[in-house]
Amino acid sequence: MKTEYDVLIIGSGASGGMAAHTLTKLGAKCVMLDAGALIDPEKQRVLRAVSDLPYRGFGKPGRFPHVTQASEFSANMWADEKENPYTYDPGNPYYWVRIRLVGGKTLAWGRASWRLSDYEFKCKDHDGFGDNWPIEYKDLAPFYDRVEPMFRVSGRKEGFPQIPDGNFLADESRDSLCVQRFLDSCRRQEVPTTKQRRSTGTLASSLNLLLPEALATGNLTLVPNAVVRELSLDKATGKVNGAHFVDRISKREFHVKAKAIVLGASTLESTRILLNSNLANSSGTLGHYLFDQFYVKNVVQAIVPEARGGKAPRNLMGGGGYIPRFRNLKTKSKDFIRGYSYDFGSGNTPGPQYFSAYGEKLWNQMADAQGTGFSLTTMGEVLPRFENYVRINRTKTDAWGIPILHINQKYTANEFAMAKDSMNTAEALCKDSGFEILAKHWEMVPPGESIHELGTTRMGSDPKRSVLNGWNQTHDIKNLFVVDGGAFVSGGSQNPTLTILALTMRASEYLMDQSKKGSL
Amino acid sequence: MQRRSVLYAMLGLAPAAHGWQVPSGAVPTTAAEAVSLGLPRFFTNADLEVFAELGQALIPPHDGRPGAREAEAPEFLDFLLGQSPSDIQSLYKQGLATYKLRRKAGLDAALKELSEPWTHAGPSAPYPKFLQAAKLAFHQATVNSRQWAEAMSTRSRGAAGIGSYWLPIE
Repeated sequence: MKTEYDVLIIGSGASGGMAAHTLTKLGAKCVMLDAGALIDPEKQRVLRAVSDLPYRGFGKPGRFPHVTQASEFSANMWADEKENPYTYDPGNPYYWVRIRLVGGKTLAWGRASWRLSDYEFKCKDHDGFGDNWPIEYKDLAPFYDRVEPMFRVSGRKEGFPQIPDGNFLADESRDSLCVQRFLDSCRRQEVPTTKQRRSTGTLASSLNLLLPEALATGNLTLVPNAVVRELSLDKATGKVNGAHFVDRISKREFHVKAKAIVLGASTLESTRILLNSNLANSSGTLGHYLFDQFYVKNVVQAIVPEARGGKAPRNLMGGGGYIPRFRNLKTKSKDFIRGYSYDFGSGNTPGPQYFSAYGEKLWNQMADAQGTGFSLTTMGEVLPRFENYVRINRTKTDAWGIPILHINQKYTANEFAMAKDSMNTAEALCKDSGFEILAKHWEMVPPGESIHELGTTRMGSDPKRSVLNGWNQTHDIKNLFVVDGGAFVSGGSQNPTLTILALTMRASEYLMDQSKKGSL
Repeated sequence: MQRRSVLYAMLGLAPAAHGWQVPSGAVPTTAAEAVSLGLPRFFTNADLEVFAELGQALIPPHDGRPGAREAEAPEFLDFLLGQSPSDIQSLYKQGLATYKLRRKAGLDAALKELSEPWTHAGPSAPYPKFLQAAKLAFHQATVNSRQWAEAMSTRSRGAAGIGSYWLPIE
């Protein structure tokens, strides 16, 4: 490719899409490389009966050993694990869940949209562990304010400092009777609750909310099926000047030139590109401080007894909500630092695994419990640690001959203690609500499965202990930015996408400002 | 011919490479039909009959809806197990062998482990693990069958298991 662009953007999901949206509107000529195909989600999906699928909904055995989210309906959406392998130590599995399509994981995200607070940005000031971010909540708040309307986030303003209020579409929906009972129980036990805060709309993706406006400026060249091998460096200036990439289908090699580069390929893919390029690692921290958020799915599965046998009145069941972090805010837990949150919902039918029966008895018990369920899922903060890392596995490559990642992440005593506390608390809240406890556990899903991988190119004020400065700009190379979840210094228990979008908007405007000043 | 190729492609199978002969003119449209057309089997005929008996005990017909046998769940699971990882195959082979011995003392004795309370990790011993896996597999294979969808279609339009299916990207 002969054209030299102002900015090369790698990745097209939340971060890449927001970078393109911001930069092109400010007049930058951008080229975007994405490793996946450009699809129309409406034409890519058809209605099918599960009985007409070849595997009756089980899916092809062994196709996705690490993607528990992949049903037979959605299997073709997820990145193929054979083409895109990675490794981990036996006995320490990591579930790396990827989508390689233009739009990235925003094609399938859960849409939960929570702000971080200074409990995260200034976490070390609060409890002494880890590091503060080089920015504060007030630095990012104006960008949250602008991102929320773009993604049509609905929610309810509550004034909770741990999840600051935003620019919401007001959620005025009423709660069902069982949810009201649960909320009353939470109030009695001083546990905060609120409505979900979610991006709304039929599709809430970079593909429909960010990229069309970027393309409409005439300043964006989108190149799908472009698998980046490594960045190129001008040794005379010490700055990056482009990227080598492989066409996914033909496997032909190309190079694209640009005056600045924005990496938004996803937390671990951006880090993989930097490691394979041998760039931005003077600190020795590139790839380190990998963390995510641990999940305990259905930490408690309860039953609302009045709904048994199909006897629920019309307004008893349905709906749910969110419990933000409540531990270690004003008081200190003796067993762990930081905290966790819950999603809760009602009206589900517990699956057959929960019933100690078979045959006619099983059918009867399931029929009796139909639509009676009340369940909670825990989302907990994971402490960033240097010893959790990714590195390049020099012995293996992907389908395009690019060296792959070896991933090493373990949960530690703090996360285990938090998970157990979340089970006990959820059980107490359900019992106080008059619900029957059908099942409880505190078994976390493996690291990675929450799809909230963060860190590995973290921000920091000290170039010796971090990869990026407070503007998502690498300490080592002024014209190189990383705008995805890799920048996070800590993550709380809030879903990270909204923060990634806000950070990217802020970094992109800074990039343009610095470019105009000739400071890149 | 094209439809057959598509089916095999979706199953991740290559008939020619394995020497399977599909009768001329026959086009399988379900896993059970594919099995009947000569695709590889997991259980022997005799074991498949025992497996079907187990399936019917776990998931019998109920309230006008088909049980595992009516839903051809045993044949489907036989097809699925034929492609499954070796640890799953081993669990089912050994589990069914134990079931054959245990059922001589009666069905309740053979299935008594299914009365154990639920735990997230599930049973660790192979036979209870097999029973739990078989119970869930027979349930899913039954409620996701065409026979189940037809039975439910007379009761509710929303009960036929319709979902949004992602077509292959290319």
